This record gives sequence, C-alpha cells and structure tokens, in this order.
Amino acid sequence: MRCSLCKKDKAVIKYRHSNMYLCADCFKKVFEKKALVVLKRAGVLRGSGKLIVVAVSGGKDSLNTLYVLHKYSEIYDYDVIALLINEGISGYREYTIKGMISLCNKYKIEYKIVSMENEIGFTVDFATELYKKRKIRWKPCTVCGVFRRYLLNKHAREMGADFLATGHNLDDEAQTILLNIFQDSLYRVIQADYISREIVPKMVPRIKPLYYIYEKESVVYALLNKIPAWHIECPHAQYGMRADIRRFLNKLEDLKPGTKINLLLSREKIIQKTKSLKMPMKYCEICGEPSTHEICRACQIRNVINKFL
Amino acid sequence: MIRVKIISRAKEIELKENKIIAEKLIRKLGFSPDEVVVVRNGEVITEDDEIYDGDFVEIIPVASGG
Ligand SMILES: [Zn+2]
Ligand SMILES: [Zn+2]
Repeated sequence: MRCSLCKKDKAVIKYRHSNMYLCADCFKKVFEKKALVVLKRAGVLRGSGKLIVVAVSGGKDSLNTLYVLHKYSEIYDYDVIALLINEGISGYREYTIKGMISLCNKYKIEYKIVSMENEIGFTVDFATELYKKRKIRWKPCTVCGVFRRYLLNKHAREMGADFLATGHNLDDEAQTILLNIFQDSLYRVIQADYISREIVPKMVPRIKPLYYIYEKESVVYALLNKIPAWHIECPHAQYGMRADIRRFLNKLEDLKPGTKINLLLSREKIIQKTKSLKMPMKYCEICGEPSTHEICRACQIRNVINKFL
Repeated sequence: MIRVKIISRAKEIELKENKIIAEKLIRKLGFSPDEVVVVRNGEVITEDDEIYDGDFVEIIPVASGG
C-alpha cells in the first residue's frame, strides 16, 4: 500500500475510519502534530520557559510522550524533565527504569527517580503481601495508583512544574469514560480530558499529549523511533472490568471504525455543558496535599499499613 | 512457507500458504486489525499488505502496559 499523503512511500498504518494510509515519515508527522495540538490547546506553547514534568512508567506511551515533548522543546522553548516513581515492584520496575534511563541518556534528557519506599515507608510489593494475607482491604493496583498520583503531583510541584504530562492514549481514555459511567462516577468523566479541568492550588495541571493517539499508533511510533519500551506486564496486573471494556470497545471499533473517538468527542461536549459542576477540593488534614476527602486516600492507606511495619 | 511469531503468546507458527493478506492472518489468529501491529521481515506493514512464501512475520499486540 502506498501513502495517501506523499503518494510515494510504502504505508505503515491504515486509518480505517478515514480509509487513509500513511508512510513512516508522514505518520510520524501526523502523530507529532496531534500531540502538538494538545500542547497548544492546553496553553503549553503560550509564552516561553515553561517546565513540563513527564510521568514515566517505562512503557511505550510514557516514553513516546517524553520523546515527542523533548523533540519539540527547543522549537517551542519549554523544558522537559522525566519523573519516575519506583513503587518497588521487583521483576518489573528494574527493567522499566532501564528503558527510561537509556532514552534519557541517548537524548540528554534530565530525569528524577523517586522511591516510594523512601517517601512513604513501604513498597507496593509489601502492600501486596499484606493484601494476600487479607490484612488490608486495598488491592495492589489501588495502593500503587493512589501513591503514584500522590508522589507525581508532589514532586512535580516541588520541581516547579507548570504541567505534568502523562502517557494516556485515546484507547485508555475511551475505556476510562465507559468504566466511570458504568461505576456512576460522572465527575471522573468530566474532571479531565486532554487537560485537567479543575485547577486548584497545589495541584499541577495534568496534560495528555497522546490524547488523540490510538494505542496502535503508539506502538508503531515506538517501533519506528526505536523507543526502548519494555513490553513487560506488571506482576500484580489484574484483569478487571477495564480488560472487558477494552475487548468490547475493540470489537465495536472493528465493526464501526471511529467509535472510540466519538466517545472522546461526546465527553468534550459534556464538559462544555457541565462547567459549573465541581467537586469541592479540600486539603488533607494530615499531609496538606489536595484531596476530595478530609484525610487523603494516601494517608488513609498509609495509616493502616503503618500498623504492620 | 510463512513463519509467524506472535509476541504475546511467545510462540511461532508456520503457514503453508504461498500468499496471504495480512488482515486475513490477523483475523485467523483471533485479533482485529487495530489490536496488533504486523512486522514483515523487520518492516511495519498495514493490514491490507500481502505476505508471501519465505516471509518472517511478527505479530505485536498493542495491548501492553502504558
Ligand atoms: Zn507519505
Ligand atoms: Zn494526606
């Protein structure tokens, strides 16, 4: 198949909803343009000297995000630093750290690694052991998610970040929309699209440069750019409702290409209509971090786990 | 013969066909075109491209950690 744009080179990807084929060079340009659209709309490109901290997990999406943001940092005059939270998951984290470090060394990108054990006092592996012995009620993924968000925001803020960028792609977002609707959490559907919609003190605005990028595009981009992403699954990964929704959405997309992006477009319309709907933001009585509860989730979990240390 | 390696399932299969459209192969393996990336002899191809006798094909599932 030939590229629909340059009509010259061999295509590497087909967009089924628009019946378009793109070669490697044209695809990279389109991919990067979609990321730049988010940066522009989010206000990153306004003015100069902004600092974007990129939350890196070591997978293809976060490394692509880091790579693209770095690639355009000089042209648009902003700074990029990678931030990785080491949750202490052995047999997994040591590999993904390697991926990030090799990308950062290759392109001379500054990075910071924060150890959950040093900061919080225990690792996700330790919390998982407690969970298995049924002494705590939180699943490993909950503990991991809560503390990762907590530490990412805290450290990005302390680093002086104007934005915290994450690697969420179009597929992740479409799944999240359905997942939250199925759990009757409308607030979670509208609190963020490509940027967090509620800006409160101590919360670094979050942006998702890959918001309009299909997961498949992310894999192709990582392959073409030789991004050292580790195709390794977290040993604690659970296959809850998200996995079912992923299969369901993939099936619908197969039958009717464009389904996933329509979900995202609907969300944007709901956000426009519900601008007044706000969750009251408080600050944790123990640690002072922003939270929707009197005591933040991180401190709630920490209080219980500390009894076993 | 076409050699096919499915990355997630860590296994390799051999097809007797002389020629097959990538999409047909993808569906044969139980995937939809958006769920995998097909690499033929080291090059990324689309689901509409053809695979021939003697080719080595890698099927990379897109669903993996972010
Ligand atoms: Zn082209
Ligand atoms: Zn707290």
